[in-house]
Amino acid sequence: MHRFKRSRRPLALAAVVAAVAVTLAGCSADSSGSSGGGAATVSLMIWDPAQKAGVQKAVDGFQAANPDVKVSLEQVPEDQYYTKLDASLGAGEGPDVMWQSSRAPVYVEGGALEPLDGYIEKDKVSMDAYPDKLVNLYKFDGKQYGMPKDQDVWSVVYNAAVFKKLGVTDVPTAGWTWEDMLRIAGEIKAKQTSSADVPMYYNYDFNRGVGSLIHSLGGTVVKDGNGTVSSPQGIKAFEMIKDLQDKKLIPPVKDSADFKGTQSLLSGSIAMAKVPSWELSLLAQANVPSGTFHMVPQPSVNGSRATDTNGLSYVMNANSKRKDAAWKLIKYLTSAEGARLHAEGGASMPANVSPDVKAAYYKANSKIDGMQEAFDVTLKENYLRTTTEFPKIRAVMPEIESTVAGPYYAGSMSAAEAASKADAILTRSLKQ
Amino acid sequence: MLHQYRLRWWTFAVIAAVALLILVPFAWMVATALMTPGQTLLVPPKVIPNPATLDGARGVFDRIPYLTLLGNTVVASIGRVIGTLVICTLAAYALAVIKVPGARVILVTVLALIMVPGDIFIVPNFAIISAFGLTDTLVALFLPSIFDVFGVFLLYQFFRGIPRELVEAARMDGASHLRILTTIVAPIARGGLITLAILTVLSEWKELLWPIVVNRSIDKLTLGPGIALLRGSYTTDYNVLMSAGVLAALPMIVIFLILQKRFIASVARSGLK
Repeated sequence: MHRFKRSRRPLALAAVVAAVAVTLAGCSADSSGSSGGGAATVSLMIWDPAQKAGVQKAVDGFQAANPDVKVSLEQVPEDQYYTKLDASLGAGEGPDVMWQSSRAPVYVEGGALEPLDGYIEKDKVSMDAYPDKLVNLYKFDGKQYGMPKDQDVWSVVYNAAVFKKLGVTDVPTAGWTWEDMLRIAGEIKAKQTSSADVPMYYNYDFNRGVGSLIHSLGGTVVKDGNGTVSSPQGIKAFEMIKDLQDKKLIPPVKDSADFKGTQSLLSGSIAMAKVPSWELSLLAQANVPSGTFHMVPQPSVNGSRATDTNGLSYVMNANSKRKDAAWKLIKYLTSAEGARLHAEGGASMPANVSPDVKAAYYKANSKIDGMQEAFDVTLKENYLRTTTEFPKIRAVMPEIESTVAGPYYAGSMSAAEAASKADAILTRSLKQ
Repeated sequence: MLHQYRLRWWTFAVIAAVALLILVPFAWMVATALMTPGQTLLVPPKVIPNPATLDGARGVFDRIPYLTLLGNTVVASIGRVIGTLVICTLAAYALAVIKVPGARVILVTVLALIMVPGDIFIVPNFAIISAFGLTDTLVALFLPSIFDVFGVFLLYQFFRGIPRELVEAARMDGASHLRILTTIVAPIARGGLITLAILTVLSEWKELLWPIVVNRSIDKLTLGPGIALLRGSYTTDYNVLMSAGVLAALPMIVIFLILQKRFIASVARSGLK
């Protein structure tokens, strides 16, 4: 009895409960207060850390021109980007302006994105500044949902210092072919000291690796609502990439998931790599002597240098509370001035192809020799990435990687089997 | 009844081998943290940093607001521990000591929730937090996880082991349930409460997806997402990443060492009763 009277614990417990309750109440009051009034803050969400500096530079330019709007730029790791969007857009929240890619149709269907036609018309923004195929990517049911931000250009970059160190004088040239690539990589492989070293990087993934080779060979991945990989071209494309692996010219498939081509090129552990335009700023801004990095187009296969392209866009949240400010930001970021600042700060090739934007992009990346020549060739021949042209198949790409491409490169499946399994998966997804 | 085990040489061999398995990755993390970016990418890898440099640690402070993130993690952990202990203690008390009607059904339902992967709740949790107007606050970091099904189950097991005579005697003396809980049940089950506290802090420390989803500003995030931001999509400075790993793990190791002593002491005390 006596013990119970002395105890203060129930009181302590009650105090804790009260404290938690007060904290909750306090915080909720805070947040509603900050979102209520004051200067309009527009939130902008992106995923790529390599392009953050470029976007930030463009945002700074916007704020200088529009002192009444504040922009908070937030970069979310790519793996969590869409999870965050799903959760926040579903609850009627989320960023005012964000990047979208070939997943845009899902969000348009769910009513999460704002059609921009009214704004475009009101401000008389010309869509002629962007390539048609990129504009049409974000046009659904005749409405424009996104303003094109960038485009993808794939090229091959080699590290001249590595060639020199190994004493290989046979370097890639603008007119090279797939056979030249095999020969040069073989020469480097022969000079490398460790058997674990590989001379180059080429992407394994079905969508961008196998897909562009099929395109170059004159085949198709999808046609008339069916997968068409089971063709002589499809089987050849699979075999060409496996051949690179079997000759130990690229890292084996089991080590490829965590292998970063651009990073290895920077550190000099490989001599050349297939590099997309959105990673080039990492090479252009690297602390290396000029003349280290040289760019050439893709090696020609069957006379073609086709590589895939896709373009990101800036889109507006349909639930944004500051739509006018959000539009102002989108308009600025995709204008010639905004695109130029993106390029100067370090970002992918802008979709806005005004001559001075292009010039700014080449200038910002001038540390990479031969870039303009390589881009001129590639821009002419690029085609829409398969998942971009047929968004329905995007969902089954991981399935193709794990059940078809993985086993094929590991050697437990023939190229013909791999191709027909890929077709079955593609066709199934297209029929859904 | 203490049984004296004779320690043989192979006992030490097994202990040494297991300790090595556990410590080598950690040692590698520390070694990588002290390297230059170039050294981290050598094939075959070198284990000893030469020359050792603190550039990695400096990089962490340059790129992310480490101290803010650490402070947020501590606040979220404290909030979550308090919330979890209060809710789980009350729930376990109701189920194990009071045995409310339908206690078994409730317990099975709670246990069934353990089987459901937590990521499924991300979207509904966000909707709830958003309805409270709590997104982008520190409270949002821990509020959805304070009802911890495993915690309820753990404490239920501890509370069930408490002699009924003690509880009945207190009831006869006119003690309320709250008083019995705080003066009899909780002290006897202290080992369970501390275990739950440690596990809760650990899981808050490791949280990655939820903070990224629910909070927007970098100064409202925790260490997990902070470290994830250092991992680039295409290139990663592993020395910076590993320095951040060491810096994030250090406070945890210190806390664990402190709590471990109390943990052992409390287990010993409750065993003697």
